[in-house]
Amino acid sequence: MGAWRGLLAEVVRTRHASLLAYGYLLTSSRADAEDLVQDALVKVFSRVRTLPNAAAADQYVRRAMLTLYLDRRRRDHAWNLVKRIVTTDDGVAGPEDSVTASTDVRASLAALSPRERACVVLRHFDDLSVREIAGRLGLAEGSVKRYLSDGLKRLGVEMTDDGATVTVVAHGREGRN
Amino acid sequence: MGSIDRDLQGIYDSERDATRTPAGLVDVVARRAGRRRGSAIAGTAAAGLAVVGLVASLGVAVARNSEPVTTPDQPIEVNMYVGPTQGWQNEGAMDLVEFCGEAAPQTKPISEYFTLSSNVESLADDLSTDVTFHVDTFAGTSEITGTERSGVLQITSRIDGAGGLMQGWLFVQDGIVVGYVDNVTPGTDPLTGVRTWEDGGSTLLTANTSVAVSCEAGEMADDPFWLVGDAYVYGPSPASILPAGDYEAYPVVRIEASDKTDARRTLAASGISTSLVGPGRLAEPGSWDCQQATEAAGLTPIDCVEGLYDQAWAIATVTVPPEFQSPDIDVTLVGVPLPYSRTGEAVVEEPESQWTTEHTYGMCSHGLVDGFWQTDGLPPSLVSPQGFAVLDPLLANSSLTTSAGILDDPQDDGTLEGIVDFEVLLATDLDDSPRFTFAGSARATINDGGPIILDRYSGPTTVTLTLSDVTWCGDPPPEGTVLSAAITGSAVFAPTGGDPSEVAVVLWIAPNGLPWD
Repeated sequence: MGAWRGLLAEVVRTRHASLLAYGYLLTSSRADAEDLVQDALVKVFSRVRTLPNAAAADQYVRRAMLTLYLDRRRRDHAWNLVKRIVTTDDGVAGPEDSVTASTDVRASLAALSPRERACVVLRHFDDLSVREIAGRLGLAEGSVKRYLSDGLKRLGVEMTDDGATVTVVAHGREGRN
Repeated sequence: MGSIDRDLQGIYDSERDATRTPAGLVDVVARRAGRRRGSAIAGTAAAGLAVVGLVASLGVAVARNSEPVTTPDQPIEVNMYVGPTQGWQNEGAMDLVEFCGEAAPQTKPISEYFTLSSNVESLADDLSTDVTFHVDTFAGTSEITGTERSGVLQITSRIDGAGGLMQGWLFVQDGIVVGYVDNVTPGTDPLTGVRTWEDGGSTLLTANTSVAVSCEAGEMADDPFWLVGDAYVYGPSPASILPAGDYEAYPVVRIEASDKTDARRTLAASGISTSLVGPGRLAEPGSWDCQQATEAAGLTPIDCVEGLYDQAWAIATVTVPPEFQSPDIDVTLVGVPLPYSRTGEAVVEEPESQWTTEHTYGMCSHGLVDGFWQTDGLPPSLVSPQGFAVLDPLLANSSLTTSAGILDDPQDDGTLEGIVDFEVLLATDLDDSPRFTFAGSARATINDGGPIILDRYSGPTTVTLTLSDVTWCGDPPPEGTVLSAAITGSAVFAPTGGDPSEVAVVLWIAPNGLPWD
């Protein structure tokens, strides 16, 4: 068995759950997250490269998940477009998921467009700067700010011009300034 | 840390704690990755083989693989992960976008088993002229003689099998890849997605009308949905299309044969397709979904076959008999580049209907019509059934009472009650066109507010749908227009075996056909 297979086994054993959770943030669907994680693992471990440890592999996989998630939209069917316009994704939180304080965010997150959601997750979960997000997604910084602004507006949050700080204006919560 | 940060972290923690790792995931990933690693290494070796092959094409005898033939005599079991969303991944997929910005690819028209040759000297401006490519096995190469021929016979007997095919183009300017076309019509069986190769056989790969995508398009290339005026259009945006100019066009063909293609072919021989009933959901064997899908496709979807598909782990186990077993092949052929001059701007069909751009959602001051459905004021949990009905009589009337078939989607079996005076968004869903336009609003009541049984296994429930108070965004759509409707509001849903609760409902009424048509 090659060393890469041993590392793959370690990544699956120690990090699969967190990767699925990250996939859920991106897709708002557990089924989609499972597909995304597996495809990203295949993509990362398909390359003949040296990955020093599971932590490094984890970062590669997360980047691959982001890329795959955005690429996958190219293959969406027109029917899915119709559904996206008038409703949220299938994987929106159901009653069993609605017990935490983040229920509203789950539902709102599911209603974001893929790029809006990717930008929000990278900014507010991965804590990347606007410039870093732009580099990661291959977008102009202005585009990232627009996606962040639109996405946060849907989530009930406003963003300042530099995209670095937010003020919560909904849900009765305070944000950072 | 801001509230959004905390909320996201909360969702993340909750999901992480709720997930489980499927048994066998490492094996499945390792098998898929291992095959790609093998092809990457083989690709490096193929660069050398390409030179050898070119020499052979000039009539020089070349030593070939004389590895003894091993004829399989036992069936093998192939385990495939078939996720509810992605389904069975097609073989031979190529991500040509990854070549963007790279140097022009090395020409490799000959591999160990195949040759690639074209019969034209240039590409048509709009890519609409058919270009045929021959992919021949070496058994058809007359220059091979003597000892080499016996080797070739061994090789060709080994490649008598099935494989996936993909074809595309890379466009190069000043030595750099600046655009591409992928998903060009593959020469495969439309039902199985597999090409069966015979000794000495060849196939024609026809490049039909496709859109050349510019690498400069960046994010636009990712998004097939764009706006013309105020109407959403499905297709490439003008900004994503390769601009006018002179290019070198490199044909790229990938051929893959593996246990997966063997399994696909085995299933097809038994009347089973590798498709799932519907994207994003799995069907139960014996269900109405399975009956409909089987009748429509002529093949039974894989999730409809009892004992073949493990729904819990999304693993299909296919027993492949010896006669369907092929050797692993994964070759990528890059043909000799053809000159390609684009003289005009790319042609993208504009919406031709005079009212399509005039009566847009942007001109309607309707609560639903804001690009996305807003959840303000509605319960957070959502039930999104789908239905089908003919709504065209609304064009001549301000109200309509008709029958509709209602299905739950996804599989939220249960009872829905209280759809009275819901808001309705009317949209046009033009035949033969994936675009649609928001046309007006109305009010809807179903079964006078009475219960609707949602049971995916049994199939659609027939209900009485009443639409009233129709208001068009401008003039009513013209005759012949096909109408769809999105009905939304708050109702009570009782899942099977569960307690009723107030939920948001978005019910999409598709024109005529079934939801997956």
